[in-house]
Amino acid sequence: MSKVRKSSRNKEQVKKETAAQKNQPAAFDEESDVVYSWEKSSEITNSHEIKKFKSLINTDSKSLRLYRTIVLTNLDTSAHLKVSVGDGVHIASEDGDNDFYIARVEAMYASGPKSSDMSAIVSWYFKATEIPKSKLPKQLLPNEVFLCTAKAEMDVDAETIINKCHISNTPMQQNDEKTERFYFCGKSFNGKRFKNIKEDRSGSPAPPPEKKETHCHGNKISKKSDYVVKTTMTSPVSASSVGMFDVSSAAMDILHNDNDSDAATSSDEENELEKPQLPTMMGSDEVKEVAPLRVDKRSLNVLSKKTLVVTMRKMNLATPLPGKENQPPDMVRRSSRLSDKKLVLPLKIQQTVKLSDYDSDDLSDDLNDIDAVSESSDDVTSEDDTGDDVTDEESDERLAKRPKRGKNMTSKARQLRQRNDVTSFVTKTRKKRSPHIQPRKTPLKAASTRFEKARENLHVSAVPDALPCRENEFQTIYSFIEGKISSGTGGCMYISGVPGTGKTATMTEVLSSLQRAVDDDGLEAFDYVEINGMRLTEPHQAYVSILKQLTGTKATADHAAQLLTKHFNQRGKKTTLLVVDELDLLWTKKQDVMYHIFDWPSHRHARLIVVAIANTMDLPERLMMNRVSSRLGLTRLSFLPYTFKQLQEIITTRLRGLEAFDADAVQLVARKVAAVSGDARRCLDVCRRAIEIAEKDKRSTKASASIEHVHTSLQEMFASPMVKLIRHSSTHEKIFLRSVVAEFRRSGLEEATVGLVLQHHVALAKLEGLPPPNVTSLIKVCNQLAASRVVLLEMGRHDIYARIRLNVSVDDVLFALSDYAS
Amino acid sequence: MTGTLLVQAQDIVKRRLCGNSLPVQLFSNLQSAETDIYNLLKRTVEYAESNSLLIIGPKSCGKSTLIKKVVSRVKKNENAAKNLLVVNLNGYMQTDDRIALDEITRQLQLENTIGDKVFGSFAETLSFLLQALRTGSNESQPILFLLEEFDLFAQHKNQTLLYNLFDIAQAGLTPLAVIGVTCRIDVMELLEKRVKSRFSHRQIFICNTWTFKEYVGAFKDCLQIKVEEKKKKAKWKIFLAKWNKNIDMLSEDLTVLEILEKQFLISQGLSGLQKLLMYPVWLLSNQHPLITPADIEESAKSLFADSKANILHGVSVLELCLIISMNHLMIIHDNQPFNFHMVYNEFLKFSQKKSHILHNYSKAVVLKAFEHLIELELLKTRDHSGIGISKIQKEYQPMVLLVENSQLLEAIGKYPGCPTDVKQWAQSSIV
Repeated sequence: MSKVRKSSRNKEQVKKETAAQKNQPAAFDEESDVVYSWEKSSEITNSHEIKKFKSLINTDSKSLRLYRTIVLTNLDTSAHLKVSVGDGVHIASEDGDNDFYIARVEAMYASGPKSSDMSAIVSWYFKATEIPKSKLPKQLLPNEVFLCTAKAEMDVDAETIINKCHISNTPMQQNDEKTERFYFCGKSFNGKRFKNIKEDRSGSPAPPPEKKETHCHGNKISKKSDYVVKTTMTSPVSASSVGMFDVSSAAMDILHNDNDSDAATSSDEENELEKPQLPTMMGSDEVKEVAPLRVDKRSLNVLSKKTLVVTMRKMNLATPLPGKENQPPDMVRRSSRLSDKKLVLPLKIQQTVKLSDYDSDDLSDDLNDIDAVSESSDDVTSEDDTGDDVTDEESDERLAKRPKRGKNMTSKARQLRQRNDVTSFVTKTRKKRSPHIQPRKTPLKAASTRFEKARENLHVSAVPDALPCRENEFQTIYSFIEGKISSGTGGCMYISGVPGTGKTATMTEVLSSLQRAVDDDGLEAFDYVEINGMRLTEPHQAYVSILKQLTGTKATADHAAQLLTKHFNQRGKKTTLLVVDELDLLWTKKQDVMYHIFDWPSHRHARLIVVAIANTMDLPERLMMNRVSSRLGLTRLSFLPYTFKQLQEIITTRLRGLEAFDADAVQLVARKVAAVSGDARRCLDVCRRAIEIAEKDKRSTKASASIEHVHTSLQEMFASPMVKLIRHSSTHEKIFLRSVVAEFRRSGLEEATVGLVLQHHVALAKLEGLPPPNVTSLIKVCNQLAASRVVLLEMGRHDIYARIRLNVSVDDVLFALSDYAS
Repeated sequence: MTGTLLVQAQDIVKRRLCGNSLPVQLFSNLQSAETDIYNLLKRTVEYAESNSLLIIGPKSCGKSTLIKKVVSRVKKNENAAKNLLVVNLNGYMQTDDRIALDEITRQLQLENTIGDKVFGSFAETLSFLLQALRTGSNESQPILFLLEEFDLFAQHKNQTLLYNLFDIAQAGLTPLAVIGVTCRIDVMELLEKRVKSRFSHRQIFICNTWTFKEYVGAFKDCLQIKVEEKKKKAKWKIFLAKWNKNIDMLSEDLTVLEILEKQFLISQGLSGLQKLLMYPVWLLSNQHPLITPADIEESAKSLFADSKANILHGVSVLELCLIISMNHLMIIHDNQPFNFHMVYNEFLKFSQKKSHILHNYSKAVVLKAFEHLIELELLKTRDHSGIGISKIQKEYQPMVLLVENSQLLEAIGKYPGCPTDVKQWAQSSIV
């Protein structure tokens, strides 16, 4: 049972963090020193009710007494304060008399005869001052509070209640006199972000704003009306309804944690460690009980450890208040039957809501909660011997719904996970600041001359208005994606083409057109996710990256894969467009990453469009297993290398109106590049370099790049420097190369050992009339050549038996050395 | 007084020889390359134009010196100095992308931008850095990435770092200038095609184009110290005049020229010259205030010394005899491997005839000597056969000799107290 305890001090932690900011004057000066006694007014005797509350209270004590209403009496002023379940209350803060917390009472119970044994289960609300300023929403309504959906200790001593207040879900009027105790709650806050509190889906009406009862959302209203009814029940209830109550308690729990949180929950251990050791002074002998209570020692221990204790002087007795026990039994029946239906519903609804929330941590936490609650309710039923088949079936059903992971998790593991959540909470809040390079200190120069403008336009990064020569491909991709989006289905497309043929650029253009279509023509909005194999350290990181872009959450690779599969299996969401660039890098031995990516679109509710981009046309056949390539399908598009005409067009469109380039020169570049690779990037780089050369060229009278300049540029970029290098190497390096060639000729092989080459070298050097250097110097020469890779030398400790090859053709060597040899 | 002046002069020259502050007049042949790189960097700084560039040239031809010079020149420009961030990476230090990314983060001082976040996984660091670089625009500070030993970066897995740097340089995000420095002439072939396509294909080739006369000039530039007029006292001037005159004399000395030429023929690079001059400069003292040709000769002697011949000076006569018999075997069998028994037989032939020179060594002693030679790596096993060498008995392992005939003869010529018969035997295999 203890593992069910979700007690956490997060709320308190948050409060401590923000304690420094609190300097507002206390609204309850006159009451801060007031001491209350309590008196239970209406005890809850209904067994189901008790069970339900027990699951809330998290103790295994059988001797609890539950109350719907209690009356607290101020001993100094003898003013009475009647607190009922569902009331909004101020709760004394442990860090100052002037401060208080806002909460709503969910249940009240007494675990013993002492006054300190009266506890309340509350749900917390944040005041605006308790939330760090950086996180506060921009528009704050007066007296706005936020439902705390982060997990927090829900148990408080009843004596800590210092006042009642009203929490409504509509903004209050400014002219209301009692604004100090009226709060408006429209949002929930989980320590990280705000969420609007949703209307109850089960359809129960929201309470009218005038109502003094303090409710903040519809779910709870339905729940509370149940309490009221149930307290009056005296007859034994049918087994089925017991089962239902279990469900309801589970559902209730979910509702509490509903919108929450990658819940920064800390484990029980941490909880106790962090607890401030407040002095407990309990003069409690004067407490008078209406009904005797059996005190369970164990539960008392647990409770006294857990509950917040506030200084207390004396206890007095207050007059009991009448409960609402006069309702007719038939009404009870009706409402309980009604609740049967209602109570099952929330569980389902909540689950779907959560899945659509995408929030990984949310999800798993909540699922764990379901586990926990269902376990607890199982326990309760078995304890009371009222549980029967129906209950079991119910819980079995729930068990089946849980993820395997939760099932296998031990409480220890859960604690660990929760601890992780705490740290992730901390880091996540800090991560809001994204890294960036500082902006420059001095302004940029704008391109002024014609050449400068041309250079700017020719840079690969310059984005043209439209991609020339890729209209067909654009159309194909666009219509494919648009069709899939509007029909709400999914599919895969494979795009191949050598580098620099505009694959990614076309994709980017398609995307911006689609966005425009969404904005203007009412195309259904879609999520866009982009991954690039080259920007991942490891194929499995793809999952992490996709999940992060889809939901903004972080998870380990394995976990992310599970969550994504779950996500794509779930209905009722936007279409997702996933672009996978450099697909071949996602290859793994098992090909599981590729498999998943292409498998998701085939799921029934996936609505996923995958566009995979890679260099090679035959990648599916060459690299992928059958089951992967079959899922990829046959929608393929291949980008052919640009022809020289297309390249010419690309350059001319970029240079339109600048006249910085001769037409002949453009043609030369286009033809040359088209012959080599058809790579548009290369083409643009050559042109840009040609313009630089033209700019530098003082002799040229024409103000444009001519064929000569292009020629120089091409020379620079395409020519191999090998010949130049050999020409400028030292004499012995040259002789060494000649010796290598001589040895090749002698042996007829394209490989020689260093020792044999050395012998030739010595002979050749003598022939040249040079003193032959010794072996060590010659090996030095050899290493120099090997370092610049003119020759390839076998690595290792082979010394003069290392094998050697030429990295250039023999003809090139001879050509380079021709002037020397002659 | 001369002492302190000498120390000062020595200090200046030492710094040059260790490559920290070479005189500017060196590398005048790199003028055009320098202008090119300078203009490129200037455009990155002023127009936020991203570029990538490779500087290729053989070792010690001044690539790094050149780039250092350009960067310092760019930094002299006030505008550039304020904006330009420089990231220095070296392929020998950043041996994989993970280390490189950490180093980039450190040098860009990004590690504190998000609180006290400690970098966890490699994946996180990569996405963090990419986010940092990709969120930039023209208005971000330009960054110069200087990758020395560029070829080693191409050996990183998937070339992730290079891809991303080049990709950002071509995507119009944070302005980058990526300059790679390498001595491998075939570096382009190392790049993956998609990385290659993103590289801008600007390559600057640098070669040593020195003639011998310029080489001697470089020798003088390395040693001579310019007199800075206003700065120093008269004594310093007098000292420098003396010092520089000595260098002039050295550069005309025939012995020195001969040594320089020998070095020049082997390597035109500056590093050979630096090594040659290191010893004489360190030798200077009050008693020996000026470099003499003898110093340089001494230095050259150790620089050009044959390592194996040196080792051979330290072996015993028995070991020397074994080396000689192995050498004969190699000649007789045309470089085919031999084993211990063959060597032993050859050795016996000699020792039996000339028994007055050598004691009658037992086989075990000879084997021990043989093993010692293996330890000295004067011979090694020849493992061309598929069988594991270690399985074969020591005596039968096929071996090859790593000593060239010329080295052996040189060593025997210098071997102290080498018996005449051994000398003769070394020269001809006929006993």
